[in-house]
Amino acid sequence: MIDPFVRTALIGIARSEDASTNTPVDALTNDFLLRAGARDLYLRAGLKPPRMEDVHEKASDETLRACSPALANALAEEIGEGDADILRVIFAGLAEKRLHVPHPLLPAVLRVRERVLRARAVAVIGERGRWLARQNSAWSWAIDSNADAATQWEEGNEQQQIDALHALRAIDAANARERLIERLPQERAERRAALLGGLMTNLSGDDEELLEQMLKDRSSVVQSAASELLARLPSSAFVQRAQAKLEALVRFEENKSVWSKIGLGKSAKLVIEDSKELAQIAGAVPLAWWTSHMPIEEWFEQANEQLIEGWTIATIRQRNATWANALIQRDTKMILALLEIIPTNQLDEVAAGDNEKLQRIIRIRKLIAEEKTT
Amino acid sequence: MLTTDQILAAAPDAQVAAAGKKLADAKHWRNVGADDDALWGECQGSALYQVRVSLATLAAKCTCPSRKFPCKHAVGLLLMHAQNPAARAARPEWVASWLAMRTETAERKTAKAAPDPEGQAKRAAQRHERVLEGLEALDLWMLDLVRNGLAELETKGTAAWDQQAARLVDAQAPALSTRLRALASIAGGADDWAERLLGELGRIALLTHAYRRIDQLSPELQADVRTAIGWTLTEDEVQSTGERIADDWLVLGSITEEGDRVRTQRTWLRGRASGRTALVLQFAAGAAHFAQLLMPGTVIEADLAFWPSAWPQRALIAERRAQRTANLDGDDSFATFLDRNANALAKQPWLWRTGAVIRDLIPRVDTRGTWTVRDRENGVLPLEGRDHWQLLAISGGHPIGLTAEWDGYALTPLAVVNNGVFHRLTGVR
Repeated sequence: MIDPFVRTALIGIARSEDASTNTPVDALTNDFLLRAGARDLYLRAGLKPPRMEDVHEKASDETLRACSPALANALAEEIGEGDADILRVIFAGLAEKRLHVPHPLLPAVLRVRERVLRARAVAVIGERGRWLARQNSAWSWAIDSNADAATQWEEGNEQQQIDALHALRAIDAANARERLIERLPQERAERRAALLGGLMTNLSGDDEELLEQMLKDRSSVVQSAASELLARLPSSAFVQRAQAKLEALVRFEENKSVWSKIGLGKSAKLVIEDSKELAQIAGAVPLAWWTSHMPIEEWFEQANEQLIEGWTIATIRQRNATWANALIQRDTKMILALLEIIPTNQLDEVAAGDNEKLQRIIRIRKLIAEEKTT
Repeated sequence: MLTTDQILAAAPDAQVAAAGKKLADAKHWRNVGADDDALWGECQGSALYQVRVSLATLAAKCTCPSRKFPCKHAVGLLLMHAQNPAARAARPEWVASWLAMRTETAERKTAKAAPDPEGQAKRAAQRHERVLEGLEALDLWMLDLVRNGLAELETKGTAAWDQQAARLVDAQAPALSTRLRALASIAGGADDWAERLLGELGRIALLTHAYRRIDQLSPELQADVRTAIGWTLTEDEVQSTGERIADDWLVLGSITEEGDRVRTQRTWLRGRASGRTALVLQFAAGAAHFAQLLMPGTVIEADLAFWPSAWPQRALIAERRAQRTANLDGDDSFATFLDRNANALAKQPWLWRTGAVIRDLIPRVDTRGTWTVRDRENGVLPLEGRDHWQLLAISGGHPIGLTAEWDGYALTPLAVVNNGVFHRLTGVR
């Protein structure tokens, strides 16, 4: 409903009813403008806000705890920067300590795009985050995730199906595997590989049979997805085979020097056969195999690049903190994955050097670790 | 004690903020110390830099070659001090001499001779004529608009507005030019654009009308009309002749606007004892800094000197003594705030914007993305802009305190106070 005065201005004084009087249009217009000014002044000065009852719900109290001001300050800096690697560390750390993201930072967290980050963010946005997400359709990902996993597995999109498989594995690993076996023949290669990844949750020897079968899949993508999982099962035939291959490639020659006989110098000399598969094979062998022959430091003295790569893969799969600490000084490509394995109380031993991201991650992990748990 | 957030807000750009963060580590520093007035330290960069900061004014001086202000070293030192306060120490000579020099400069500034008064009067008379001509052309244009109807503006671009604004600059009426240029974005915008545009045009018509009869107005209102046109007093004149008020001034927040060559910062202050609202305007060219660092949520103990006006609002900081953090007082409802504003308008009808501090507000967004705040009497006012998610996140549907800029139609949030904690809002503009 437009005010008649404003309507006159919209259509123009020349076309208005006022123009039909004897007063010249110029005088009319001048007078009209001044009246418009006075009218506006009265409206501004006499403004009374419209009254409306509040019908909105309030956010519920948080069930998670709030961060200390020191941590909140540090998070404000890091979340503002939006580095995915650092956000991953933050979300994991907060979840472990049962803390929620400080409220002023929630919009920045809800704007995160990466799927992996979103999956982790859901656990730390708290009641306030869900309340906020309900009011912005772009943030529905933060509230939809608690839909029934079995339904999602049947009806969800590709990503929801994978998430659902993880959830189903957490509830009943065998049942979830049966559902997967039923589904696999209907899917194309990339989907078969992606769905297999869902077995990572609650992976056990019971999955070996299926995985061995998938090793013979006609697609190399599926084969490598299966071998990735098998390499994480120390008792699997796959690992035994890798170990046998390794023993054919790596031999020791007894060190016959005088120094060795009196307990000094190296205990064995390492002979490595050239093989393109060395890193891949080493990556599947339990790290204990190496240390049963020689201490880590001695291995490092005689290692080549392929071995370092293989150990790095094995360390990440087996989550071995001792090896991670030794490797972190050498390998740069996988450095963040290695850092993740090292427990917070051992972070002081990590020499971050000039690596700025490493320094920032270490700082934030220590800060989160210092938060009280009660 | 300042918070990390406040210090980072003072950094001139994101690079300095990031570099400062890296330098906020004791390993880069030596001979760090502080006393009641100053904070200092030596930073090992590509050379050894001596950094000193006045804690009262946050003015900083560093021996590094950076032209940014404050430089990364000063930001780093302040951040480190905020996290882990520097030990008290005796002030070294290079800090003491700097503080002494600053006091001297401030004193020298106040003693400057006035330039040739005759020439000034002549130039003023010439300018008056040009302004009158400019206003006449503007009146004709506005009359045309209303005669032919505002409706046709809905689809027209901003070119005509820009042209009129440029003419006003030529006519030496820069303030009116700025206000007119701001109208360009109203046409065809929000639902009530015609109402709003008509109101603004009418207010400008009242102004041109008043300027032609300026002799009939009170001296204070004459000052307001001249200010609204663009006649300005120099800061020196205000410093020596303006009304002075000593108070504890709460910094409500700032809005910085990027111009072609100059950045303009509007900072709103509220006096604790006087209840006065003050606007500190600062200008900086290119990468240069704003002379005064005013951090939202802090209180500065200072003398402000006000520009003459029937409702004095624009002010400069004449003397700044100390700085600390503070709680938020403020109006308890929209009614209290709007009454104050009505009083101001009654005295100074061309008042464009003012600062607001209101307690117990609840922000909301509807499904169309329209933002509002509701006060404890269930009154509702609109918020300017489309992104107030941070404000909403902090509130969670519960009442919060808000500092904002009010333009007669909507509030532009500057900062939130929740449970005594001050949050500067980011991403609003």
